[in-house]
Amino acid sequence: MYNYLTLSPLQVIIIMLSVPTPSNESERLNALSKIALIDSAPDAYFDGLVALAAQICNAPIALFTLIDKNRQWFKAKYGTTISETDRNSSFCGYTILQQTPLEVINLANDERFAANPWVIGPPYLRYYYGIPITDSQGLAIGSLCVLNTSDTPLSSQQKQQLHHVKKQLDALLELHIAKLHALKTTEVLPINHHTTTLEEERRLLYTLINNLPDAIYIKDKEGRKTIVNNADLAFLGITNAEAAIGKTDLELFGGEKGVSSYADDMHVLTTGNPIYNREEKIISSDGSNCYWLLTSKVPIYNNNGVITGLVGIGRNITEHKIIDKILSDREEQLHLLANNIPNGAIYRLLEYPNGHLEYLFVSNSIENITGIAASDIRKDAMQFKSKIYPADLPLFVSKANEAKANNHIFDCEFRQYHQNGELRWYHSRAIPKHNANGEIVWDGIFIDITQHKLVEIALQQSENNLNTVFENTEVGYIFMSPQLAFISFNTAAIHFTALEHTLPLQVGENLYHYYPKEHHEKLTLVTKQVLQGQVFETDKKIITLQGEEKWFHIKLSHVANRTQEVAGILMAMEDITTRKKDELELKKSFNLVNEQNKRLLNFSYIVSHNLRSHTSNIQSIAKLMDFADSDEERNELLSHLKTVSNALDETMHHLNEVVSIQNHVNINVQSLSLLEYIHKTIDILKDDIQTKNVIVRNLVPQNVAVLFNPAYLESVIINFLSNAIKYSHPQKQPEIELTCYRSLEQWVLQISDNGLGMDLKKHGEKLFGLYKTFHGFSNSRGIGLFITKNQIEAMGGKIEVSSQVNVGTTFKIYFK
Amino acid sequence: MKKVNCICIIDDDAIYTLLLKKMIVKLDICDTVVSYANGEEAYLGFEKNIQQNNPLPNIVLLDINMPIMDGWEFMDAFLALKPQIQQKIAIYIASSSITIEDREKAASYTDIVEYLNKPVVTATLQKIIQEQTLD
Repeated sequence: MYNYLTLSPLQVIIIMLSVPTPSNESERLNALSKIALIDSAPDAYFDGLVALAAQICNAPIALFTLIDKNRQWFKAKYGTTISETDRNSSFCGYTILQQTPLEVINLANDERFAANPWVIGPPYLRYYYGIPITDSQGLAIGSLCVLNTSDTPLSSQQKQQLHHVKKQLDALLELHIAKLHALKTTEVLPINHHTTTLEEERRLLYTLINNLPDAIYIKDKEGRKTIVNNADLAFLGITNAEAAIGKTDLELFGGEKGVSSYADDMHVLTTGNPIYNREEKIISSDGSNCYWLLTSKVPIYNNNGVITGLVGIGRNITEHKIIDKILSDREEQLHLLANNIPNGAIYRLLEYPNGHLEYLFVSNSIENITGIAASDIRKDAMQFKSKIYPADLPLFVSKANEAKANNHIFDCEFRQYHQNGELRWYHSRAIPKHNANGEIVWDGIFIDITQHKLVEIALQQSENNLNTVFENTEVGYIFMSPQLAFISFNTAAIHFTALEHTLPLQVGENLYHYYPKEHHEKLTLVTKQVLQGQVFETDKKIITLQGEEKWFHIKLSHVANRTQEVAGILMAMEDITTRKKDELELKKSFNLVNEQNKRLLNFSYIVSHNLRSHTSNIQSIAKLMDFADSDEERNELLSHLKTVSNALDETMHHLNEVVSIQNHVNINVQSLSLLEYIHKTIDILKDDIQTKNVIVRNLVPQNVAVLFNPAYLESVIINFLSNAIKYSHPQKQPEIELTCYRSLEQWVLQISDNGLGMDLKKHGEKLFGLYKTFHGFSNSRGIGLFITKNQIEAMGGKIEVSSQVNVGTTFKIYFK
Repeated sequence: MKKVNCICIIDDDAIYTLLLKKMIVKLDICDTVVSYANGEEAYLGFEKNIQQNNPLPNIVLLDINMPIMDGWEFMDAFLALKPQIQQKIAIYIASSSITIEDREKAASYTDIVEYLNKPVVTATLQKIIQEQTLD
């Protein structure tokens, strides 16, 4: 390996040998310039062949080089972007020195190339194979070569294939030269006539016309084809030129087309008037294809000015035709659309720098919505603008100015007078475009939205009404999310919330924050049920921040949106304090009436029972009187009658007493000292107390005052104390204890004894009934507890009893 | 006039009991008349007779409202004694109560033949005797 890394470029040049020139160098350069390829535009065909060469040889670089006087220029290249190098640093400069291919297996070891920049530097080439390219005279103009970084030589097969590529390149080169000649022939044909053979001329002409996309043909004076090109054959649907030569269009096309085309030919041939650019529709002989041709037919004159034939050119314009058709269809559709916009029209408005307006286009449909014809609007745009409702004009103008200034869409809803004088709503939307003259082109749409607007206004009005109702109702409404976050609420809701909570009602706040933690579980449960579609209703008592008691009816219901999804929960709060108080009052008076009724019924039973037992006895005595046998017996019966009448009198007296309690609901009530009345009673009963040796423990404090009727209080205390003494236990020393305490703001007098006691399971419900006695005493009338109970209840109090047989009884009197 | 062995009055109204007894004696519809002042006394009396194998009354006239043990309580106590009783006892309620509840309650006892309203008159007594001496 050479180490050139230390050498400067200058040193490299010194070492590099200059490439020798061939002996026929001047002829060669002349041939090269004739070919006119140097510095020509890239050619896809040549490039393709070079790429193919690289592919076949598995080489990173392949080139078609042309060796000019001082440089080599790449007509085609693969694997490099460089387009030329110095002739002295070329490989191909050597190739053109010989007739056969040049192969260099290790470039670095070859003295000719060891110093080549492509060998000592990137891409560090090691292999070269080049085939000389010659013109028709055998003068070498360049080479087709492949280059590789490895020094592995090409296989014989690769070399063979590379030679096939070279042949293709030769053919391409020949074609290029032919084209070059053809071009020159038309200009220089008379001058060079002697230098070229007729045969060659024909060949060149064929090559030229065969490679043109237009159909070209020459006809003799009979209209028979003498020359056709490939494009014309393709039009005719014929592959072989022989089949067309000598035939007229009558024969070639046949039918109508044949006749008309032949007639054209004859016209040109006889009159000498050419046909230029006439569009013709051609249907192929099998009818499968349809072409559009742009035909020109020009007569050919000989030196004597006699028409000898014609030359024709046909250009396939089918594609243009199709595109034209599509475009015209589109235009028609657009036009149709523009004039048929329901309730709308499109326009193009030109605004001059001086503010003058001109409609370049307005859909005819404008007349449907404004009553003004599109033509009138086009004539006088300013007149049209003046129809805008004056009150809406400032908005319209400011929006238009804004759109112009910012180059954004103008969008405005405004009122404008219809031709019939009616004021209507319109919506205009347009895009401004500034052009070079300072003019603005507005492309826009104009829509009648009167109907829509009226509905919108009505809707807005009804929404406003609804809002007014919502705001002014006495029911508080809070609309919440399914998670109970407040979304909206009305004034009543704010007011109600402020009654009970210091936390004000506000959007985003959550209902949970208004309830103590211990209620959250219940709230979650209720929310779940409501979200499932249930309606939750409850009456809630609140104590306001001012300590006032208020009742609210709370109703929670779910609110679904249009698609039936749950949108949230609506809480309605209604102040029902007045209603609730009335209700409670009513309930109280109902209970009172009910109780009174029950008492009356009971009373009637009692009256009936007690009076009947006496009257039935009287009845019995009367009956027995009839059967009495002796005066003695009659006297006995009379004494019984006396007893019965006394008993009846006593019963009547008791009933009177009961009736008087029942009747005097508004009896005189005073504040009485409880202790004073107890002392009084003990004094009344002192004989019984002494006889039975009763211990009375009076623990009632001095200051207790109760609201009671004086006579009732005396009666009540006597009754309880005398009962306690009467039903004392025979084996025990009687003890009575009186205590007084407060329970729920009520005074309670408790009287306990250690007497006989009662089985309350058996007698509890009858205890306070009239004429109930539970002990076998003859003087037990049972009236006492009945009257006592009535008296206590008449004073708004109540009575409770607990008792155990042989242990004792405790009565509790609750004062109002 | 047919007769039964014994009629029993259970009532706390002493006058009523006395008068009814007189009426029964006058009508001569039984050999003996016994009376108890309340349910408990009657129950104890029945129990004693069963123990001593003495005959029980054929007809019982039972008051409802009585101290210590009322008519209903007596009925419940009587039903407890019944398995030990061989003979037939016809119980009639005789009460001055006019409540429908008491009548309905009486109807619920199969051992109660009829609910009578006080006063029990001679015609009623004669009808009872006729019913009870048919067989």
